[in-house]
Amino acid sequence: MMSEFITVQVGQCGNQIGSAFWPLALQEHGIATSKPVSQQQRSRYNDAFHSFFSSPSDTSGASYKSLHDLENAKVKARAVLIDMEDSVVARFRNGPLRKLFDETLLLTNYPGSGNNWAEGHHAHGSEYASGIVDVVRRAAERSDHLHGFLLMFSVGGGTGSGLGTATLKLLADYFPEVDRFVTCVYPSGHEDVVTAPYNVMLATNVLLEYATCVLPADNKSLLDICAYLQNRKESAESAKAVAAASPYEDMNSIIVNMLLNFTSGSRFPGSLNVDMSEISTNMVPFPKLNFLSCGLTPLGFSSSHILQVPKQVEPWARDHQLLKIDPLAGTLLSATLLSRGSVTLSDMRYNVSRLQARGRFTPWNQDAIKVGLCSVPPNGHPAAHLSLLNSTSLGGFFSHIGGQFDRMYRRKAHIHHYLQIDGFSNSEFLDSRQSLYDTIGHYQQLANSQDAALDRLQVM
Amino acid sequence: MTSFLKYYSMALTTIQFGQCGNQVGHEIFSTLVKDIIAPKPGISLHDNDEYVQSACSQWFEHNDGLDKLCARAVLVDTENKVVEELLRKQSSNSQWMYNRKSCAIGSGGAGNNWALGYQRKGPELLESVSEALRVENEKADRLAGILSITSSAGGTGSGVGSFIMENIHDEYSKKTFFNALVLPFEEGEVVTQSYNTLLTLAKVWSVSDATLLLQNDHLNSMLLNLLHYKNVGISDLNSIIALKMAGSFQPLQGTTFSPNMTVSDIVSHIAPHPAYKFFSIKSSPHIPRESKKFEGSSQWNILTKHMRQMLRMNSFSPDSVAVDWELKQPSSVPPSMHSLQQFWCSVSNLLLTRGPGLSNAQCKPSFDFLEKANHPRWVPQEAAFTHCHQTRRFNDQDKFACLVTNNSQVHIPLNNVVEKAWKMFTHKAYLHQYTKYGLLEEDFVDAFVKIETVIKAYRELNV
Repeated sequence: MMSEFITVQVGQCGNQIGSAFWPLALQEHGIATSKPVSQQQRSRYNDAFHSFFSSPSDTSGASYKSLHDLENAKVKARAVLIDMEDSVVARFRNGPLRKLFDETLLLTNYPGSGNNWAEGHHAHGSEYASGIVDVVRRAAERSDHLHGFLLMFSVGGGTGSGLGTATLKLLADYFPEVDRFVTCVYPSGHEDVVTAPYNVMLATNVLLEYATCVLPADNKSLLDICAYLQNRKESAESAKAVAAASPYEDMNSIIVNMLLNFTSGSRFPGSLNVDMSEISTNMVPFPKLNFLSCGLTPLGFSSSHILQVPKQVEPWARDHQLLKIDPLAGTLLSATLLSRGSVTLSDMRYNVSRLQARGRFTPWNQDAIKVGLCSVPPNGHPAAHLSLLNSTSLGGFFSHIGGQFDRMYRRKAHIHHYLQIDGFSNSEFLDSRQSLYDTIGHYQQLANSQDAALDRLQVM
Repeated sequence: MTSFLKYYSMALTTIQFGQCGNQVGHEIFSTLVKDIIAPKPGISLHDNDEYVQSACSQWFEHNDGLDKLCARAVLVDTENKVVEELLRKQSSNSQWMYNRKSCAIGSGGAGNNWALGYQRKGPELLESVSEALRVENEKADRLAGILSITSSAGGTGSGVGSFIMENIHDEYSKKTFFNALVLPFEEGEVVTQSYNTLLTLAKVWSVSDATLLLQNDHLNSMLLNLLHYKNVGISDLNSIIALKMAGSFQPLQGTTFSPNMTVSDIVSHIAPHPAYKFFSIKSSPHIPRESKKFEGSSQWNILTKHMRQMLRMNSFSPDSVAVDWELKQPSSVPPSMHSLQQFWCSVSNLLLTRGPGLSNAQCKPSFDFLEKANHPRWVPQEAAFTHCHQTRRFNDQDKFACLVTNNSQVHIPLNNVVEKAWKMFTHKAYLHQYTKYGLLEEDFVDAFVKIETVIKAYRELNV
């Protein structure tokens, strides 16, 4: 009866995040993948297992200790894998978790999208629309309490950005009642995708329109966090904790930790439950203001080495953000603090008042803080804190996206690649740009909003 | 025990809504049971049996076969985690349990959104709640009323609770219909809590006979200042609520100096006028665990005078609560009497004392409480203040007093809620989240009008 989530991993980046996600998700449920799981009593929370996994026989998760057990019970991840190129998905097919993925939920072997949002979104989007809907529906039919989709993709390239946002639209059409959370990776600007500014702008606009909430990360922040972890003593342990060799793996683990903390309240019990459905009610004061800056404490990865977490934490600090912005520099429209593990209500109240003191909240909601306490800590830590902030600083982030786009569009560079795609026309560039600037304007207006002088109702 | 059947009192069915309602309800029943089976009642065996019978039949089902008490309660939630956890906890409890069949559980949660709870989840759950309630009530020989427990911050307790209460109250219009509403921390628990609280207050105001308001901030202060807690958990807040409610609603007795009162009597007494239906419960003493055994028990007259102090307001700025006497231990040092001393104007006050050794000669609380200025002129003096007593020790304490009070102070928390909700509303913030489930802006305006009217009425009591 727990809330269930289906991950939708699109493109190379999305599937790389996915490949970091599943081993860590299994670890949270006490199932060892490649390395030993810290011995925590998790058998009380067997129900939670079904949030991310489905099993044909309704055996409670208690009996699962290893991948072998999962295989025998025909347990499958609630995951839909979509990629144009076969390479990443192929790794799932051959990797140690191969039995965890249902072949019928993989969509692959298509030609690439040439780093072209329009090709991914319009050409592939319409060509594979029915295939995508079928696959997602198949996954949805295996759930009883489907609560949300967790979409993962990058917005710099063509497949994740284009097809990922096309998938998002399809989900909005076919499953309007199910929340759509998107975690997407923004390029740092040093990647070799020339057309990234176009892809980023076009994708961002779809995200603003169709996602329930967006939990963005950018490569620059992720790299900085990795560098910071490497410089710390205990990081040797932390770095080793993620087995694979790919440099992106570490960065992806940071995103995964965020996602696991984000969903913990929906999966595990706690004295102040936070269901995923509550996030958008609390965090999105106006339509389209659905991007949330995520900050984590501790930043280190799960490992056998237990890291102490101080009572006084600052997940809202600039260098703890997955996005390169300083949320407290702007006006805070809303905030959520989710704590897991050994955190008391008093600790939580203390952190709330510290955030109140540090942040500048909007005059029409000075107490816009949502709090959650989940009793199950993440694997490897006694506690963890996640902050979600809706700050007008995000307006600056969008301005940057608009600026990058304008710089290239002014020269009409590469636009012919986009214009030749059926279904895409120059007006889509212009409309998307306008819509993005409208949102930027809304943030600016909110950053300067004054206390309302409107008198309260007088009753006779 | 069957020989005491004649003492069976009226039954009260509790509906627990949402995470908070269920956790508070569980704490209340645990406290009731602890009190019922307390080893040192301090009264005769016969009198204690009478108390136990009366308490059991009020809160628990009569069942011959089982050696466990079964709570007269319906558990309602929009997701199963909390109720599952409670039932799991209960399975190892040897004294009492919930009836597993009396649960109405939806799925997906109510998203901290009153509109989602009220417009969607409430209607989905109505039938199963009504059915569970009917089954519970049929087990009662005589039903006195329904007590709903909910918080106002989230979506389930507030929205689903409002919808269900609104839709069942006609069926029980001849019964006592009251509720306990937990108000969130003002610094924020849920971003939309002001909207949810406003909408809930407006609904319960219309449908219930009286509403007990419980403020998390205040309970938290009691734990920090009075009980010297370093770390306060949700369950600690709930334990204070449970003490206040058990201390007020456990059986009382008629004595030479005080009348007997049932829960229904208390509710109708505390809300004698349709414009004044919010009340609170002040209680004392709350003694830190570590100093319990050293604490000399104070005199009854000191305790009752202390209770009286709790109605004091800071005369220099009426809107701030500078001295909160509930956050102090009763002391024999008389409080300095200031000429400007003022008290909150009360529509009704009920002092409930529990414990041995109280006689009329020893203390006359009505002396202290019945100063004319403290009550509106239209309240007859005999209705303005009532003292009730129970000689049995409560909660293993020699003395415990609850002041059930309906006074003008309540306008302060209500005003804070409206102030915050109004600010958001004038900026149209979060409205799209509510209108998407069919709530209209007019519905908000109606709620504002209703609660502004209540605030005005309470505020003007003290003018």
